[in-house]
Amino acid sequence: MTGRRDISFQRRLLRALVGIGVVTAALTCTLLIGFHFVTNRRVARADLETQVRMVAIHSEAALSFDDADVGAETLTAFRAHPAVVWAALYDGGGDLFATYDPLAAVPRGVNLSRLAQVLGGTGYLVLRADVTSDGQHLGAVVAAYDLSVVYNRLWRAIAMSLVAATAVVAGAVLLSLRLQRSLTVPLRELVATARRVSVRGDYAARARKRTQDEFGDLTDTFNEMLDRIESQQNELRRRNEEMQQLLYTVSHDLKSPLVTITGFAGLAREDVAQERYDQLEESLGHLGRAAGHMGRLIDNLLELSRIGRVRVRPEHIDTTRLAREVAAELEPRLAQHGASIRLQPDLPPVYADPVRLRQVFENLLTNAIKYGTGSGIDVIEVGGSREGDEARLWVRDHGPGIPDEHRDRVFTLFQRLHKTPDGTGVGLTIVAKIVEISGGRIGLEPTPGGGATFWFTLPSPSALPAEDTIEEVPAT
Amino acid sequence: MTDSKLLRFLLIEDDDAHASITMRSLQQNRVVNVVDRVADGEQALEYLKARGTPRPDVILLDLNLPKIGGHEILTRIKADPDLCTIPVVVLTTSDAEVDRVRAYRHHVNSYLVKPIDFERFRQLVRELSLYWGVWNQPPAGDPARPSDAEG
Repeated sequence: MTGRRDISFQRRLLRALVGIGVVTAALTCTLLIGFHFVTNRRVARADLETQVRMVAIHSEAALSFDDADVGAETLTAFRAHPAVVWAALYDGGGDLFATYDPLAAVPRGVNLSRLAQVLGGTGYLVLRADVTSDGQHLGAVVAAYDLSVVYNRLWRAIAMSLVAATAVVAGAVLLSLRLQRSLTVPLRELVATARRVSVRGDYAARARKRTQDEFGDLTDTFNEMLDRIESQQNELRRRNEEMQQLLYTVSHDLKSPLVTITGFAGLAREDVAQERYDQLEESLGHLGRAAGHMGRLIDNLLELSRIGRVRVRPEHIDTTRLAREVAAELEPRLAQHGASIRLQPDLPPVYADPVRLRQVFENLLTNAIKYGTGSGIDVIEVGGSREGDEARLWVRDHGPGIPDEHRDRVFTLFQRLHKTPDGTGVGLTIVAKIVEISGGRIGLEPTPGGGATFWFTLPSPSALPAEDTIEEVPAT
Repeated sequence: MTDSKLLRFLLIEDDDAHASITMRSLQQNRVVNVVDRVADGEQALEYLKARGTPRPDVILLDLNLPKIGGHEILTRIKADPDLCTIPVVVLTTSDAEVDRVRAYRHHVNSYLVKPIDFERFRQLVRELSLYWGVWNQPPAGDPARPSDAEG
């Protein structure tokens, strides 16, 4: 069973418009035809009544003098009225006195109500007028009027009305088809686009805007919605890939020290069982280092995940003061490596989260101490300048540098160029993440004459309004 | 049963601890295998290309290596007409599908995941040297080929 709502919008529209057209045309035609018929009939009757009365007046003499010829002569006045098919003059006693019979088809003494059977045609209007003289009844005039003239006019009117009605309905259909196109084409287009998105998962699909009307607005809104869905989808995909990569590397890098721990534990147990103690010291050393490495790895990973969860509320930072504090904290490590830090005295101020910026300097400087020293020039330089709305800062070492082909991998999680006992491969990833969420960019270029220069940009304080709170966002 | 020939392994492994476990496991296997170890991809290719170094019987390859990654080394070895006949066994912590598929696509001879269990690690290395040292030698080179071929 199909209800009204199951029929397509297009068909319903067509039905409605044709229905309205037919009903309107039918009502108009009926009213017009009815009015036309009634009026015509009334006019014809009034006309004939006048005529019959006139003839009655003129027949007075003929009846008074009992002259049938004059009577017949008087009746010929009906000749002026072609629709009068028969007329007669009756005397005072009701006997036929004279007739007007232009068709010569009406037999004498015929019942006037049966005139249609005798003459054919659709119907006759029979009128009678008394002939009187000074209040004395002399006789009567009777005339039969052929109504086919009126009916013919009626049929013509009906025919014309039908033509007009057909034209109206045809017009309505044409109009509805045009309306339909303007309504259903954009609707179908939207449906097809929505289907492409839902069935094929093609989030790049867009509906074509055809008109500037409400459908145009709908199409625009629909496309804007798809834009949002698409960008969210891409973001989701990117995050998912990142997550997959993270899982892969985490599982590898966390497994690696476990292999070491179980391996050396096993070897040490064997050594003890066989009372061989020469390699025991080494085994225990490996065990301790692997456990320590794993601990640092977990700490760093927690730190990295915290950066993604904690909303950064930046503030105006005196970069020089902050860098000087970090350099002072690193003093013992610098002494260990026989290195030093040279700070540019006027580092450009930045608009960033101070805790995070401290971490950026700490990680970059630690990285430089670890991998950028030992080549003779063990001075790590920190500098910067203001460039438009941004501050550009850099940390430069004169160590062995990083070959071009590895430059892209440096910021990737767990990518290490050098195996050092305390490196986890997370430090530079943390730095890159902090710079990214602070609205800056990060990069690496070779130091002229050898070494690596890490640079990053951060917004300048004047570019943004100042706020100074860090809000903890609950972990999901 | 493994008295026919001394096996020479080339161990390409950046992690000192893992290298140490693998080497000690290979050498404690009654027969003392010869193990040469290199710590990264560049050294591995230098070792294999150098004139003076002996040709290894089996290459044990870690995938997660600095400078030149394990997959790249595998591709280069298998593309080199002089080296492609040396069996390469990947020995890695990664049991990811992508790594496995990629390694087999580049004609690795075997793919082994380092177990987080010393006994299984030991067993793995024992089977490794038995398989590549005994079962996999040319028939002419080993007249005393054992009959139970399933290891």
